[in-house]
Amino acid sequence: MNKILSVLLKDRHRLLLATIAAYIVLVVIEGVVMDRESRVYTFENPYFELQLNNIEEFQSNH
Amino acid sequence: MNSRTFERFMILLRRELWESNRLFIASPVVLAGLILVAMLWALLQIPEPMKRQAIQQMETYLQGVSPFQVMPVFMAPAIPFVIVLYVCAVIYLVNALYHDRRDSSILFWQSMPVSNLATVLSKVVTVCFLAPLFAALACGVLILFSVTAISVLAASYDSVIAGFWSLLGAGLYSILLVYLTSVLGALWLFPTIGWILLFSAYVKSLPYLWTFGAFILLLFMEDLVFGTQFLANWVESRTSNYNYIVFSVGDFFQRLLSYDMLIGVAFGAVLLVGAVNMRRFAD
Amino acid sequence: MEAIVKASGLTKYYGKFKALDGIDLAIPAGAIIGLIGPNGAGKTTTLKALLGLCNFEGQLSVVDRDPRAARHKLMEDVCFIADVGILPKWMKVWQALEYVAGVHPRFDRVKAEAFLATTEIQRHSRIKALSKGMVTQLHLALVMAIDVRLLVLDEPTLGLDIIYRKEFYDRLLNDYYDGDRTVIISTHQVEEIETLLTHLVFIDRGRTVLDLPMTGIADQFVEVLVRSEDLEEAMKLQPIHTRNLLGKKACLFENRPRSELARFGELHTPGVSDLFVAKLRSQKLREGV
Repeated sequence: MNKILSVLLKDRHRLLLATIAAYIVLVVIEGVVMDRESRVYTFENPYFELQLNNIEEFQSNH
Repeated sequence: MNSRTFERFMILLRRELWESNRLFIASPVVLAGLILVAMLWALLQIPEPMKRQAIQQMETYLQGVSPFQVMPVFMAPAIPFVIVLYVCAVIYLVNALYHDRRDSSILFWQSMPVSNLATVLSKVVTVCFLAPLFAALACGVLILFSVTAISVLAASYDSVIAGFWSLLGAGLYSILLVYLTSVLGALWLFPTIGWILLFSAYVKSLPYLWTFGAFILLLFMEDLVFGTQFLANWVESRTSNYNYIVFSVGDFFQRLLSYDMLIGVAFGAVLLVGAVNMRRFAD
Repeated sequence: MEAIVKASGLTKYYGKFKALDGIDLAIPAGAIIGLIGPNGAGKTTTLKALLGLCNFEGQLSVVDRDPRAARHKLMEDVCFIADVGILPKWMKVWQALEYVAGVHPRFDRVKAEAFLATTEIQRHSRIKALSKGMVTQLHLALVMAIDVRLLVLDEPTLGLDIIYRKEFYDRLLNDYYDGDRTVIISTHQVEEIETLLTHLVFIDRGRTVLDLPMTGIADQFVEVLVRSEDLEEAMKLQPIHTRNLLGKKACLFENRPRSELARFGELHTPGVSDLFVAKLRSQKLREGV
């Protein structure tokens, strides 16, 4: 345990990455346990009809 | 915690307010001053019949209702104060563990028998509990002014609005609620506080860019690499879906002790542990 | 005498750069030590290690503590002035007093106020508005009112004019030093502190080059103004350094009995700055740099 700590505390970059990694792991585990599903957002564009998946169609129309 | 430790911690808090008095004391006071001037001006400008009508409407509205149930009206002036508080809090946190490294005054702070933990905690307590206090007090001046103005006007129109003292009581109580609401807001955003302080202790330059850039990058990375959005979800659950305006002290404790609140504080504390240890690499 | 600082094999890398390359130190309590070295020799890094302000490898104990473990505990017994002007600029003088009084259990406020009364520093001035010399005076007022066992000064008078510099060391020696406290002063301006030191430590490129009490200089080193006719013979005894002085050669010898050298000319004990130059040159020659 002490060894792991001394490796993590070697310099500030490692410490930053280790802290963020620990935080993310906690957030994700909590998310899974509490059933906070990871939602995939679909980008809706209300202003004009540009959709990235039918960009060719869009180009041919304009 | 013995009294000596407590006294030492109090001086750390005073230090924070000395340094950031413009952010946390002057800015709400100035804001209150501006709004007060606007209110006075409005009182003088609004024609007599309109004022009379307003008081009459209020009379109907308050009929059979205890003044404590109209608290939301009194809490409305808090909105600009909370917005200013948030902006100031972000500026404060980004610089909290960065500025002293930049001007190398950290060598002076580090020459004092104050632990890194105590230093970081003093910043957290300042932003979570002290800054909201000044915002609430400044806002309180406006609340008390409104209460007085309503009472004076009502008296001059022989209106029978609820008595001055019960209105005043409601006003004072809403000042407390404004304070509790802002404290709750700060605790709800505790992971954000932890994140900003972690980067504040880490960066050597461009603190804003690193702090917020790294976070946005992380959101994109998760989506790109794993196709999931746990982080974005977590952020969303932290910023919305939660109504932390409280209308009673009971509300406050209920929200404070809720699972969502406590887990956020716990996760934020993980980031704070990182920030505390980061101070070792202050050179 | 009990050693207040014990270090062996202090090593510190900044990336690939080896800032400290196995520093060994044993500083007795009650000494005034000059830590002397050229710019970039590792003086500041050594002091930072002593104060728990940076990580390092090797053995180190300061006031019987490992500085890496709990800096804030160490700071109850140790105080330091790192460089001029590190007091926070936004602070006001009275706030600085209030703060130190609040956090330091060994701070004597009356003493600090008395010191400040002898200066022109106003209680309500912001530190930003003070001159460099005044900031140092204020820092010294704060530090001298703290009763600690070890005081560390890192280039304390850098950038100050001669009047402030002189006053700084006078005050330190007369009002602060009592024979029990230990003071470490790092500098590259040797002449200034020569007379107040009890011990000398030379470091160069992260290594201890010399570590001895001032009284030991006369035992170990002697400088001879060699007559030109004796020069050849004197050179056979391998002086560590030679320089031209008034048309003669001054040769500096290490660990040669005085009786052996007396025949070449007048003997005297070298000054610290001459010794410093000699030691550094000879070290470099030996390593072929």
